[in-house]
Amino acid sequence: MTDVWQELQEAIEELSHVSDIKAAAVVRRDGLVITHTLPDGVDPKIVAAMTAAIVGTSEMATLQLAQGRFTRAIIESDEGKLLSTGAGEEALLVTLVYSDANLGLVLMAMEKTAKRVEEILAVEVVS
Amino acid sequence: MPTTKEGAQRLLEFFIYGMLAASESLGNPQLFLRTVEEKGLRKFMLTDMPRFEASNNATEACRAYTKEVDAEGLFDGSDTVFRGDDDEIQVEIGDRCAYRRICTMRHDEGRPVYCIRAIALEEMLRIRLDANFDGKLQSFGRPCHIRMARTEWRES
Repeated sequence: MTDVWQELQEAIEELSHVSDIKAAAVVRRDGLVITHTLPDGVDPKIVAAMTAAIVGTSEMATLQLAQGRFTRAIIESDEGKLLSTGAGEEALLVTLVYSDANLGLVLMAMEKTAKRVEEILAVEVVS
Repeated sequence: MPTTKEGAQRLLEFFIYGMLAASESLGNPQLFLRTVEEKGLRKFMLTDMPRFEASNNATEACRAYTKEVDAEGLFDGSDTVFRGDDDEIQVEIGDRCAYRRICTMRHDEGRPVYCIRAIALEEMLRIRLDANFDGKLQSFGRPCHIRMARTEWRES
């Protein structure tokens, strides 16, 4: 059996190399860390729990406001942006990007990685 | 203090029902339940379950945890059965579960049923054995059947 965690780690490291992306993480929807490239000084456990809360609340908000399916959450701040999106039924993908990042490029890369994460985890469920 | 055992049980049900509904309206009951169990166990496992010693075997650890919780009077674990090994645990929880009324209410209301005891066991295994297990309520009934399996996912 292939090492799921290793594959996820490779996917997240590849995403982190996209210019404008400072760091990335794959987390579970119940707020546990799977893998990450977050810098020292950032607690991955807190990022994972907050991402799960942000996505959960955002999904509920889009549902309650009849805005269709949730796509992604973008949080902008002085020093950068936090982007989070679903990666299959069990996981979420989160990136930390520079404040002047090219969002089109970043979102495209995130979409590709989210699909890859979903495929990796689907294989794990089946095997 | 609740003046009767029934009063304490009703108070528990009041809070569990309310907190589950509140967390659902905020969009992530799984995160909420896992966090409650993690924080609660980290705070109270040593003081409220002083004789609990987790075996290195996951099934044995679940058995020992339930026995200690029962001995401390937190809930009746006598109708709980564990089968399995270090990688997979089959759990049966019978009628005397402290959360049964809440789960039944949610089931009857057509809401998802979350096994709070399975989530507690998962968190206990994560804290004591540094092991990641995913629990799934396979059937809600008398008894409830839960399957807990070790996951490839590990915290980095």
